[in-house]
Amino acid sequence: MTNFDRLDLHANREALVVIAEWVAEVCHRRSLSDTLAGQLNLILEELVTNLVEHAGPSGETPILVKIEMSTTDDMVTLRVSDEGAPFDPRTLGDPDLSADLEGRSIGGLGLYFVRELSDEFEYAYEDGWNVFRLRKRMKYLGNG
Amino acid sequence: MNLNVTGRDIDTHTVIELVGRLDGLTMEHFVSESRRLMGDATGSYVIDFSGVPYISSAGLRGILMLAKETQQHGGRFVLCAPDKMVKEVFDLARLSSVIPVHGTVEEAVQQS
Repeated sequence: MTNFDRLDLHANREALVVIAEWVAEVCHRRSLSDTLAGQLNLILEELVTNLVEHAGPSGETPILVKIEMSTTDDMVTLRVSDEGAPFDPRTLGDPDLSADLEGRSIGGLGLYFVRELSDEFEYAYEDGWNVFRLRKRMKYLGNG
Repeated sequence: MNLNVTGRDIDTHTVIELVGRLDGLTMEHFVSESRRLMGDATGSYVIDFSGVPYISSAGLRGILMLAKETQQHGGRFVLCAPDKMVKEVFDLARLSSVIPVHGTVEEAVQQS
């Protein structure tokens, strides 16, 4: 039977602290490497930050996010659901990483990182929730 | 979540030493403190990442802002000593194609 770690929170700046601590604790308990923990923290930070930045007019209640993580011997799975407006990150183009310094865009990297760090990445809009499912392959007890 | 930003001079270079995470919560502090240490941005600046265990796209945004400002003012801006997690993020962003990344402070000071 799969065992899940779950975290529900609202997408605001303070959520980044909670996420960092939760990821560290879960990864330590599941004997995942520091590098992998850093990558998972990064994925979650970028997804939540995207919600904070694109949530809609200021003054609205921060968006509820539900995070679920599970592991097998060779795979970690993250499910991140949010109640925000429908948003399919697969419709975003990749940032231009070939530009020179002057031409490089300051932003646009966050969701690119999420896709690049995931071995499998799926998105669906289900019953009013954006649902991201990511999987990362790993060697147990070591790999990032 | 804290980030300490301190500066020291080595020869003609200003080495900016970071200790802590460089993420959405610390990015503004990183940028404002670095700007203070960089003055008119016409000099040579080395950002030391040996004390940084984690960086996100917010941190990269700060780095790119400072690098662009330095370039506009005719200064030099390089990074050094990223650990494994930070190095991977730099590589994902192909950062070293626009900002030099050295292995150590010594190399950065000698080569820039």
